[in-house]
Amino acid sequence: MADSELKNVKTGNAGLKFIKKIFEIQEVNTILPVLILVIVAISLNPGFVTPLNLAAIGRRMSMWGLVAIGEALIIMTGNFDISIGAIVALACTFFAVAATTWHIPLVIAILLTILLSVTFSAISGFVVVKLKINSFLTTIAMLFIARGLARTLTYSRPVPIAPAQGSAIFLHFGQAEPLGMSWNFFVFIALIIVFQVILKKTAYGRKIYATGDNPNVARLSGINTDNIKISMFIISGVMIGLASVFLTAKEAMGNPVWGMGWELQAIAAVAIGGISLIGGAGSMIGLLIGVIMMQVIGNILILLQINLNMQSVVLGVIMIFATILDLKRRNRILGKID
Amino acid sequence: MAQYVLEAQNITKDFMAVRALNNVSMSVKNGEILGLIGENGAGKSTILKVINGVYVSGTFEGKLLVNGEEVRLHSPHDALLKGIGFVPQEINVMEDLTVAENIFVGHLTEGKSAFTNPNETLKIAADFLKQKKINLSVKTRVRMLSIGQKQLLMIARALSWDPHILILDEPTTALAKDDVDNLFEIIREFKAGGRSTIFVTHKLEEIIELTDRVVILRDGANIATYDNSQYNESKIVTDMVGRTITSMYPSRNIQTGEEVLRVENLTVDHPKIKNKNLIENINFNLKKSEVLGLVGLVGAGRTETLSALFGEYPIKSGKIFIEGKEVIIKNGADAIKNGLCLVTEDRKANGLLMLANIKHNIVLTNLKKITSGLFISSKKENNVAHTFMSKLSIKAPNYDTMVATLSGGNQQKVVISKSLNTDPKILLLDEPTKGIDVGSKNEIYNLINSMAASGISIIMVSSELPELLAMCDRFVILAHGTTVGELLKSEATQETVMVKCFA
Repeated sequence: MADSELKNVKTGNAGLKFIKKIFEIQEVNTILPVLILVIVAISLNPGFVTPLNLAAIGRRMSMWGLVAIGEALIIMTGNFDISIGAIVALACTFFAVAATTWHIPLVIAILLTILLSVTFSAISGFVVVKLKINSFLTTIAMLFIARGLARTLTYSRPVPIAPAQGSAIFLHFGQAEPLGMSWNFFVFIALIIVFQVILKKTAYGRKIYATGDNPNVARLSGINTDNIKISMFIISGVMIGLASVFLTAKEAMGNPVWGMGWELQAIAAVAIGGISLIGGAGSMIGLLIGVIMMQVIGNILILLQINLNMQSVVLGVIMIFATILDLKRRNRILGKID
Repeated sequence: MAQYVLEAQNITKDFMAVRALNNVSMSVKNGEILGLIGENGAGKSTILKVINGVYVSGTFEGKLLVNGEEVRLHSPHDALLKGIGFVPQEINVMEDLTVAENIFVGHLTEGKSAFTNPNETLKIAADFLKQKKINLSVKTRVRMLSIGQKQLLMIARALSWDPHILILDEPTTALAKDDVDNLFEIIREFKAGGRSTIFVTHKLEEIIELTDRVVILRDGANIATYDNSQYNESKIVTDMVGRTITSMYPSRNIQTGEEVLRVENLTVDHPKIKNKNLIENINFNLKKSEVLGLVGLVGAGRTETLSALFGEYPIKSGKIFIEGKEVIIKNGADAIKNGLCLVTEDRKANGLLMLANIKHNIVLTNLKKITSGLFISSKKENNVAHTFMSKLSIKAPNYDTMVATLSGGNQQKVVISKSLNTDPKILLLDEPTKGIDVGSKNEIYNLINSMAASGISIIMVSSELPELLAMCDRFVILAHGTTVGELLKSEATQETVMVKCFA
């Protein structure tokens, strides 16, 4: 009997409800602007849809998109990380110096690089969660530390990796274009899918959402919210490490000025992708849309030969709208009836 | 002068598809204390927000008249300027400012100079409080005040605007008995000055004691209005609920078993004040299937004791035994593992994920139960949610309904479902009927009885003494953060309990 009742609730004037449901899914709200953008782009400049251009968009976005995954997770549990770009710079330069000056074998250098970025992120996480210091302050401090160390390590100069030093395979891996894309692109997409599944289908994912929605409720429900929050920073550290390895391989060098503004780009993608900046809501698919949108807007503005500096103006306006949309959704849920 | 200082005429207010108010009219006479009573979702808060300018003119149908003249309010500040003062239900004060600064925050400088003059503010505030017979020290940092004092502070802040009508939205929810008396005194004083009050409450006895007239709302519509002389308790309840409740407190066969929980000399440091204990030397035990009441005044340490048992504070000394074995509880996860579960006082802040639906809330406390392998099984999840929804008769279209849209009573049932989902041995209930309507209260009482009958032991805290007296089998009395005595059901009356509380 119970089952038939449930079915009754679920079906019932299906058609209209289905369309309504579709618009209730958060990601639909975020993908509509992308579609409009693409249509505008195609009509203004058919060059947008050439495989070459699309592949370029894909390759570019997957580089900083990787760190955006970590940023999104941190934001979902109610914190921020401003130091991401600086840690990328530190990890890239560390890797380049380790592989060239210190002659550490490549595989070990890769592992050490990831370990380094995880350590830095984990320290931020620990300070934020256990010492209860605001995540903005903590990670701004970490930004100064990481960027400073990167400059010290390299005397503020780029450190090239020459193919001769046994790193040819590695460099080829970074510069290869399988199916016109990059290995980095496929790793990015795979990780988006993995984390989407983790968020939506596992107990860990539920704990992440609960911690972000209301840490008091989560804690009283038996969830160790401190551990969940710190684990977001650690995952972010892994993402930073991966992105740094890809970036160093592609450019065949490490540069202490890299990663500038990546954290802001990541936060913008998070906001545009419908992930709540107050925590507790959003998805990896939303993030992917946000990342694509950021990259596509830049690309379109270039194709339309609009002043490059206008890019950030347009992005800023879009970000404000995205944030307003999130607030509206929240109010719609919370403010229906008193 | 018009007879009515405030009239709301034929107010209709919709939220998307939901009609929250349907043609509601309400008027307040000069110098009257008007009671407003109704279940959660009856539309009390909505009509108050219309009167108070939160729902601005144009977002609802109908008219508002102040002293016989129509007004269009565009903000709560507009309402203040028209003489309508509002004290919301939730405590909303600036913790790090002084009492005086809190009172005059809206008009600190009033055109004289760009800088505030602290001494003058203190003096004006002290005179003002004295005149209004509000007993608060103006120099105190608000953080140091009790909840009852903060409530008084909010009232003082509203009075500082010299309103003609004072609206109090469930002001007594968090107050102890003597604070309530104090509040009533202030309201009567206000009335003696020829001013009017709208007093919203869930508690019938307050309506009867304080008000001159009562307006009853149900499902967003006017049901009845009675003058003080016509007051009849059962008639008002029937009007509120829409059905007759034969016995408010259902009876139960008490059959307690062996000891499940023993607390010995439990002592916890105060988290904010040095060299002070939050609770000290708490001693009591709990038997299987027993409903134990923790009784005490506000600040006696009732909530703190429950929180300490649940691992919210580090324990300084003392021991906790569950079924004879000593247990160490450092956090909620430990507590749940040991068969404890806590239903908190404030369900919006600590009980429910307000952005999530019923299903996701219920399963949260026991995610292991719904995972198979690595992943959550939606079949198992739906089953759990469905079981609790029908077991506790949670009224909602289905388990995908957002909890934010539920009434207070149904939200509380979701919170209790969350707890029951951990298969607890011991359930800690902190104010389980706070802010919910009479009908739902009755359902919660029945639920408490059936949980106890099924072998769960319950510790209950409530500010409503009649409720505790009726529901509990035994009482542990707390005062100043420590246990001061025990009473059996047969010995406990309002008087014997209060005597022990003050001893």
